[in-house]
This record gives sequence, C-alpha cells and structure tokens, in this order.
Amino acid sequence: MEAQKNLIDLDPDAEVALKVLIADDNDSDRLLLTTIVQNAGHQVFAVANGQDAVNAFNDNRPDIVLLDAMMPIMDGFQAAEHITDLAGEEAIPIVFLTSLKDAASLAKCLDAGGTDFLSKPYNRLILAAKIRALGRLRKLQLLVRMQRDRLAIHHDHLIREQEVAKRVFDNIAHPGCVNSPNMKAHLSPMAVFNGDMVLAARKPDGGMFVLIGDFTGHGLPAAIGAMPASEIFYGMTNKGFSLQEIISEINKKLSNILPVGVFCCCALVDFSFDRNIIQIWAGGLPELFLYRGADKSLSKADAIEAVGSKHLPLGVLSPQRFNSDVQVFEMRQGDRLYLWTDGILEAGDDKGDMFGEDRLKTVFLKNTTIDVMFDEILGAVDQFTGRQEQDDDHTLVEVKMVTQTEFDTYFGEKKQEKVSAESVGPMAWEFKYTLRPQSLKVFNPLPLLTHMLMEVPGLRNHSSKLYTILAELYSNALEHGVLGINSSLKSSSQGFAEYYRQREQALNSDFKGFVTFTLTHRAEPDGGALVIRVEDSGLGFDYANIEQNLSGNDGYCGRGIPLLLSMCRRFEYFDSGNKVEAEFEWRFA
Amino acid sequence: MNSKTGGQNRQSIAVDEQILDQTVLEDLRKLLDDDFQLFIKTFLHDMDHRCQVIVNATAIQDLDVVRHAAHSLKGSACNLGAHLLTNICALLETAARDGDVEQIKTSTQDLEQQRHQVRNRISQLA
Amino acid sequence: MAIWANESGADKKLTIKIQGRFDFSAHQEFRDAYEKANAKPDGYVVDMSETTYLDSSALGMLLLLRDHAGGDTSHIEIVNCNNDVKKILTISNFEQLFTIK
Repeated sequence: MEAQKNLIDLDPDAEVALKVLIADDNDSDRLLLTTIVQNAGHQVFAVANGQDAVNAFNDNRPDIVLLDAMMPIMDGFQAAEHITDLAGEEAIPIVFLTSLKDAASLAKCLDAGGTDFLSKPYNRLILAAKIRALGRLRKLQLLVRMQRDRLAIHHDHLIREQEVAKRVFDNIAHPGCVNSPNMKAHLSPMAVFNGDMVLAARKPDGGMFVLIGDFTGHGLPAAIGAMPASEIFYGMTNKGFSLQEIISEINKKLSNILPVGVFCCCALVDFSFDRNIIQIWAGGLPELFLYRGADKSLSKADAIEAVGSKHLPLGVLSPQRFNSDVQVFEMRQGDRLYLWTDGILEAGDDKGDMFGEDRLKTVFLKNTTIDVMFDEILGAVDQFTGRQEQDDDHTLVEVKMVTQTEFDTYFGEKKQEKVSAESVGPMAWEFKYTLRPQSLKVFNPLPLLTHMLMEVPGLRNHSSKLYTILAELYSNALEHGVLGINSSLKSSSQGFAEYYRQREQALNSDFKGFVTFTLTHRAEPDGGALVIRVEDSGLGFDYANIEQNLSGNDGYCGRGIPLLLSMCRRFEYFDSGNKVEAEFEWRFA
Repeated sequence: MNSKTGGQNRQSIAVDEQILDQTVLEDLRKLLDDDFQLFIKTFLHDMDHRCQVIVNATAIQDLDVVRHAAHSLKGSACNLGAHLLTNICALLETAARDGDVEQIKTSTQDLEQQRHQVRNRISQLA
Repeated sequence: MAIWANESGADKKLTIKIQGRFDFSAHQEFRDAYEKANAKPDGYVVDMSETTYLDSSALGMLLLLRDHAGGDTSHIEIVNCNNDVKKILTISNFEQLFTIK
C-alpha cells in the first residue's frame, strides 16, 4: 500500500520505482530480464514457474508482471488468470514474454488477460519504455479509483444530510389536511428534494387552503425554501389570515432568503364549501384544470376550464411590486380541481418526447368515471414513460368540492383543552378598536382580534366559531356598511365574482367611514361570556325582517347569520342596523 | 598477414556470426557489466542441461519434454544472438509438436554439434 | 450550446445569443457574456433565434441578468423566440419583467 500511495502522490511524468514481478523458467533469460529491469531503476521479484509467480504476486503486490508463456508446473496463461483474480479491481498490467512470432499466438497472449507482450530477443530500450508506459497507466488507474472512492464518500454524506433534512422538514411541514377525504395527492417519495411541495390546511372559518409549489433546482437548495413557506402557510392559516395575506408573506420571505434566480412556481387555492367558490392565486405554473365533470349538460371538452398563471413565480418580485390578485371561479358539488407541477407535462419516454398537455387533455376527454380520473392520469403518464412508479418525479393533486358538513365531519372540532377555575387567564376586560379608511384599505384586523381572544384559555377551544363570528360581522360592516356594496350579489356564485370585484374597486377608492369593534369579556359562575359588538358608519338595514329573509335562503349567501344565531346565546341589531352584538358563552370542561 | 586469417572469406565470417552474433554479445556485455560473466556462465550451464534433457527425451521418444526444452533453449539462444542454435531449436520444437520422429533425431544430432560450436565461439569472444 | 456576445456600437446595447439548449450547462458562459463586457451598455438584447429549449434554470439566469442590469430599472429585450420558448416565458409571466418579441 505504501508504494502505491507514493505512486499517486508523484507527478505523472516523474520517474518512479515500480515493483516488477518476473516469471521465466530459463535461468539466463530470467537473469537478463532482471538486470535490464533493475538497471532501469525498478525493484524486481524473480521466479521460475507459474505457481511461484502467483505466490510472489500475492506476497508482494507488484505493479507490473512479466510472465513467460511456457513454464513448468503452471504456464503463463494460467498464472495470468490467477493473478488477475487476485488483483481484483486493480488492473495490474501483465506482459507476456514470448518467442512466438505468429499473430495468432500473440493475440492469444492478449486474450488470456495480457496487457502487452514482449518478444525475444529482449530489447532493453523497448522493455524499459514499455515498463515506464505501464507505470503511467497504473498511476492513472489508481488516481481514478481514488477519485471514485472520494466521490462515493461525498455521495453518502449528501444522502445522509438529505435524510436528516427530510426528517426536519417532516416535523415542520406536518401534512395538515392533505389526507382529507375530498383530496387526493400523489408525490414522489423524495418530492421535497425535487423542489415540489403540497400543503393543505383547514381554515378557521371552515374552508380549506391548498398550496402546490415547485422550487427551481434539485436537492437541498430546492428543499430549503419549502420549510419557511410551509411554516408561514400553516401558521397564518391557523390565525385566520386571508389568501392574499398569506401569499404575500410567503413571497416576501422567499424573496428575502432565496438568491436571485431561484424561485417557486406556486398556486394557492381558497376553497369555500358553503359559497361554492374557489379563489386562486397562481404564478409560474402551467395551466391547471377545473373539471366540471359532474355537470351532465356540459360536453367533456367544455367541462374543462383551464386556469393559467397570471403572476410571476414567488421569490421574484419585491414585496412592493408583488401582486396578490386572485381569480375567482364557481365550483359546485362534485366538481374537481386538478393541480400539478410541470413534472407531469415534462415526463419523458426513452425517445426523449414529453408527455405534454395534449396527452393530459386526452385523459380527461376519454374518462368515463370521474372517480378514477386521478388514477387514470397517473396511469397514462407511467405508461408513456415506461418507468416504475417509484422512479417518478411528478406531483398531482385532485380536490373535490364537497359540502361544508361533509368536510366538517372529517375534521370535527379539534381536541379540547382542559380549562379549570385555577387557570382562567384574563377574565374581566374590555377592548375597543376602531379602524378608519386608511387602515380598512390595507389591514385585516381578524387575525389580531382572534389572537386577543385566544389569550383566554376558555375561548381557545372555540377559535373556529369565534373567528367565523368576527369574520361575518366584519365583512357585513365593511362591505355593506361602509362601502355600500349590495350584499344580495353574494347570493349567487356568479354574483360573488362581481361582488368581489366591486369590493376591490370600492376599497381602492376614496371613501369615508369607520368600523369599531368592542370586545367585552366577563366571568360567569361556570365559565365566561364574551360580547362582540361591531358598529359601522353605514346606513344599516331593515333587520326587523331578518327572519323572513333568512328562511328563503338556499345557502348561497353563506353560512352567515343563521350560523351565527346558532352559535351565540344572544344576537341583536341596534339603531338602524349598523350596530350588532353577538354574545358567546363558554363553560369549564 | 597470415593468409588463413587474412583470407578468411566472408562466408566463414558470416557463419561465425550465425553461430554467435558479436554485436549482440557486445551489447549484452555493456548492459550487464559486472554481471556479464555470470550471465554467460548461466547460459552455458542452461544450454548444456537442456541439450542433455533433449538427448535423453529423444531416446525414449518423450515428445512433450523435447518440445518444452527446445522452446526454452530457443528463447535464451535468441537473446544471446546464437542464430543457428535458435533455428535448430525451432525445428526441434515444431517436429516434436508434429510428432515427426525422424526430424527430431536429425535435429538432435545437429543440436549437439551446434552446442560445441557456440561454446567455442563464446570462449573466443567472452 | 454556445453563447455569443456582441456589443453593437450604435445603440450601445449588448446582444447575447444562445445557440442550442439554454439550460444549466450554459450558466458560466452566460454570466461571463454580460459580466465581462467592456462598457456598461444601455440595454440588453437576448437573441433566442437559435435557442431550441429553455428550462427553469435558464429563467433563473435571465433573472440574474436582470439583477445585474439594475433590477427594476433594467431594459432587457428577449427577441426571436420560437413558439416553445415563448410559451415557457408566457407561463412564467416573464413579460412582466422583460420585453418579449
């Protein structure tokens, strides 16, 4: 080993003393060879037969072997075979010594595992030059092996690092509701290291956010961006932030931490089960399909609505230039939204063709049972690429529009925190918060107010309900009260898009007014009570007839007032209808 | 100038060279330096030994032994520049391989003769 | 894949042409093309007439060029795009950052 190590440390052109094994049964020939090789500066081990040659090889591990073809006990060819076996992955040059001159015999030497042959009479110049040349070859081989071994070690390190990173990621990016029954997701096992991520979470108001992302690059650099993105996603969803706020925050984070040129193609979708509406922000992704297959009045081709990305990918624009505008679509029970990254479209076969949009669309046009569409898409890609499923690099998500009740059944209320009289937190307090036009334009107060309420342990178990109450009352106060938008628009799903457009327009205009929240909490014998009072500067409405209005409601107006009535022990309007109070009670567990 | 030595014609010089090539010998002398005498001694010993082996093997018609010995001597003769010796060994090797007993007998006789010629030449030059 | 850079005199713009596949292997050469230019040009032109293919790392390289050229104040034209190239740029909405012809 020492000699070999020295061999590769030296400059490739430097003269080096090699270890040479010489096997020749003729004494004078052997003496002649030994002298020539020693004179050339190398170390010689000389033997007289094939068996001794094999033994000497094993004991001394020479760099080059010179073998006489015909020897007693074991001839050169057999010895060569044994020596090659002993050498293992080292390609030790074997030179056959022969007085044979015919081409067939010489070829036989090489076929038997020889690297070269040396004819008699021995020419010392040729011999010395051949040994030098073989020495260089040997060095090269050792160098290549060393580099290969180093590469293998590095590769192992990389794999181990990735495994650790994956565990960290799994701890942070918990699956949320990717497993909910109205959603199907297919990701390759190493998706995160291919830059792909899928996140899904239940919103406090009962809806669902789904995010699909595709970071540029591969390996750790691609995976790194997914961690802050998922933390922000889950954290902000839980606190009741809106889609625009979440996507803006993720963009801000990514444009801060990702280097220029690295970005994330992404779509974030807000599913509203009670309004049968979805809102989509999409940047840099290929077209996604909204499939209205349940509607028998539509032809298959018309049932596909392609949703293109209107925005640049995340991480490209500074927060000041970022645009969080969404697209709004009606989506009814049984309709499905299909999301994918470009991995599916770019899946290639061995001819180099890509799966492409046409083949993908064909799957939709040929499908007869919508429930198997997801599997048919994956099947079509696998068939096209001819590869095993575990080698794939594609991400596919299907989300079905269901009723709020169906969705809630799966989730239920999250596990109850035990609250006792000893750990009640702040029980007697009042908080008043007024927002004027400038704030109303840019700030969403709901997460802040919800956060306040969560300071009371007794209210924590009801965060969803409380958020829903605050959201509904705020929405009415701002949109109907201050901005004066006609809320009957909301009663149809086409109208919702128009309503949303009017809302944006009005919010960006010059308006006057305010919304005031007054939150009052007090203790009760077995728990506590919270009064939420919202007052707006608007004209109010005819709330005396609210009962009649509600009974005709077929659900498009959202959960709205009926739900609030069911949650609160008292619910009253005052003055012209621009003041409302909702009283909510909770009890010790 | 002695007529015998001065008149030594080209053919006999050529023959001498065929028995043992002086140029080759000189090269070996330069190459082997202190080991030259040892080399010569080794060669002569090997030559005598192998010739004896061939004679014995021919007598009992052990063709394989003849073949191997002839092959080996052929190689070392070649290295020394003993061209005639080399050729005779080559003939012997082929004959032994082909089973040509007549040729083997003839060549073995030639071999003995050549052995002495080489020995003489070496003692003249070395 | 080959990259040509040409500083045309008249309008003081640096034209960079990418021949073949514009992917990660073009990284160093593309950067050299604009970093090693002699004078600071008034604008940049990326000529895609012989570009056969563009992937996400190429998009990243275009963003790097934009950053080098001044970010929001840069003037970069991407010209002579074939349909495939144009499609990739359109999906990513890069016309919001570059002038695409």
